[in-house]
Amino acid sequence: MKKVFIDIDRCIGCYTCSAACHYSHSDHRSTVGYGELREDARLPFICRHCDEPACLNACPRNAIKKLDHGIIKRMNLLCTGCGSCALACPFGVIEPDIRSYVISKCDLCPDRIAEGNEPACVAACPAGALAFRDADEAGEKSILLGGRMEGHHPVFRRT
Amino acid sequence: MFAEMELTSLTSRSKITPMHGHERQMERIESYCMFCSLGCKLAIKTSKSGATTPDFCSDYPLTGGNLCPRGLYATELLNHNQRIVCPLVREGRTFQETSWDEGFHILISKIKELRNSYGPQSIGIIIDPNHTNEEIIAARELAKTIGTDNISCSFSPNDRELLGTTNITSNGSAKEIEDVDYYLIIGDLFVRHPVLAKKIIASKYKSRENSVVVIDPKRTNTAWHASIHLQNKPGSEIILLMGILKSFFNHYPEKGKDLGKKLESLPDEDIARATGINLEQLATVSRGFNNAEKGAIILCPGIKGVRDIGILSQLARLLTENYKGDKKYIPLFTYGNAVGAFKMSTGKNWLSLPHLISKISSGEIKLLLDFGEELLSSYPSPEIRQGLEQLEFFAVSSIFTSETETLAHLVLPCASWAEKSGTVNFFDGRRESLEPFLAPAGASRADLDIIAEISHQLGTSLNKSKIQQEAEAAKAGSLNIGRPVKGIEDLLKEALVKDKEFPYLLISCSATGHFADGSITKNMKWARETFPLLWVELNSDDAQHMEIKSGDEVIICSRKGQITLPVQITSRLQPGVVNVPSYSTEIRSIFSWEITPEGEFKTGPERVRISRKQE
Ligand code: SF4
Ligand code: SF4
Ligand code: SF4
Repeated sequence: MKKVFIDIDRCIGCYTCSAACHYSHSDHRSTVGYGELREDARLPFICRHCDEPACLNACPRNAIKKLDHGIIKRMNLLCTGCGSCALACPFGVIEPDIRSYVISKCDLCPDRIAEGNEPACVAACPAGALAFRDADEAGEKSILLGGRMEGHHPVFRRT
Repeated sequence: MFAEMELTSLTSRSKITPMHGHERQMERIESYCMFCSLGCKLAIKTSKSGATTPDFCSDYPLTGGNLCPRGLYATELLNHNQRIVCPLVREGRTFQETSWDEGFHILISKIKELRNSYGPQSIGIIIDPNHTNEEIIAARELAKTIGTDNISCSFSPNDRELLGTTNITSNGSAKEIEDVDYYLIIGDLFVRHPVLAKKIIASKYKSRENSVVVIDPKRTNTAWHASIHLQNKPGSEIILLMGILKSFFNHYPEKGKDLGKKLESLPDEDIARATGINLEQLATVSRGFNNAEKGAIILCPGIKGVRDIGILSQLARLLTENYKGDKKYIPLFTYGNAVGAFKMSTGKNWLSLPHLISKISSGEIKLLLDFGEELLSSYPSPEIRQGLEQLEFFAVSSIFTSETETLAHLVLPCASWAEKSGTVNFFDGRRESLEPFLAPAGASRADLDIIAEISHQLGTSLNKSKIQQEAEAAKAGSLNIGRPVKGIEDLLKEALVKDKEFPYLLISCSATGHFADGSITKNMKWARETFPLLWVELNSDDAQHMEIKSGDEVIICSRKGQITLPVQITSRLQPGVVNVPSYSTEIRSIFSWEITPEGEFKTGPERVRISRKQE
């Protein structure tokens, strides 16, 4: 399955991914959070679309579903905004959206993918730091950074 | 301020409707972002209901379809529910909605009345450089029709000084930014023009020898990617470049000539003390830049921080001319059509903005027609406010209301760049045509139409095809406001002076999500959530010394005013330097907007003192 990867050696912390997400979704709500990583630089957090998604199991309304290609999607109409998924996600990528009483979650821009395009955040990133690729594609190593507020990314580094 | 004036504005477009999956019948239109001089190409998909989704133009070579947050705002600009959508006329302390006919009627009769009683020079026109070439020519023609010489294109001071020394047709082109071995960058490039980051980072990683040198008093995100970060004292950029040149002329005395001799007389210790950088490091940069096959100096100074930008850009050009190999000088500007507007407005009948403002303050100008420039947000000084208050009639065309409009007698709703057509020239001189994504919001009109209607009602119709021809044929102009490199000793002496009363140096920074003074972008919901407007960054040692914690409030006091701001503590600044956002009007008001002997607004850091707010 293809996922969004970030190359922290290229990210310039410009928030474009967050803006692209925000302006590409109907409720104008970004699903890309930011966290402190290394010194005081800021880097984006993006949903990893886990094989064993904790959010899906935590949802009491079965509002989070696993679709084709492993996309983890939240079904807006089923969601009551209880916030269980936000608590359950070990990577802290679901942001409780209090205003519209539902939870935002990365949907990998299904419309764009259906047309053969990359998700909006990847298409917009002005530093070439985001890539949409198969998780097990050879070449780079996938590194997961640990620690709650220290950047939970699927990261790849040049080797 | 404006809220209490009961301003109501309605948007004609329905609220945004769902985009994913539901809107199959969408039209895709391509145009260019005008929120900086890069001119990134972007597309918007619009449906009949007015819903908009951004799309990307991955085949556009300069940008590969990438954008920064400002480019993505096009979606929200088109649908924003705070847009002014019909003419507003002042009645006492409030505004009344009115029709275009009535709006024009009021304006034309005022123009005629004041022209009769005070002569045509009592009428002033300002147009901002984010207008199309055609609109700027039309404004000039309108000035002719009225008979006034008081017209100005309101370049921001940093843009204007850079433009004055730039010959866009021969310097800098999009291609020259790629595959450079050695970059020298002055300014927070990755924040001001993020879309260049990919090319620069790619060049850096191409070979181990390649370098990115960033000259900035703050450890910005650009500096974070630098091979060498020269963290200089604010305002010392000129002296730093002189240090680099001095070291170069030491090795190549035959190239030095007069300037080389002058530089030789500057003591190394003084240069090091004034810049905070030792000479060895400057010599390393000089050597590296000289040895690189392809080098580029990129200048993108913000509005307050780097001083004497005119001299700085002369020095940067000297560097590119003297060093061996292929060396480029690439200036980048704040406004989208800075280059085009500059070409269109270099004739002798254009005044500089400070010059025009001084005529407003002196009472010479009684009626001001302002197309797009938010004077009070950009240059919030008591003098400018007072000048605007004493105008007999003040008409503004704008897309949002901000401080400036509260002083207006007539507000005309105009189209944003996302809703108009016309030609513009970006930083490398390339000419592109804007396409409207949608028709202007509500009853708003493109400024070209507004200017044409005013001309028409004054008895002279604009010749649109002639204007188009002129926009096509325009050659690059040069104002030559760039100042010769002189007074080096004085600059150095000045930099070494300590100010006991105001010991800190205040600089400003921009954000990827804000444009210029923020008067447009602060209306964007995402920007409001992501980039707070009021804060000050303090070095951790300074904060410890004053026993200030993150989130405490401090009073920043300059010779111009004071403001209370919450503190963010950072290791990105050196001790003695404080940093504030430049996209907030309140904060801009503590900077000095004095006019220099050269007739420009003062740039450079501000001297301030800091005290803890008493509980
Ligand atoms: S929201 Fe969190 S738990 Fe759910 S799929 Fe994404 S990363 Fe995994
Ligand atoms: S758009 Fe790219 S460079 Fe900018 S913050 Fe996101 S990942 Fe980093
Ligand atoms: S603001 Fe500049 S860098 Fe950002 S999208 Fe617009 S033109 Fe490109």
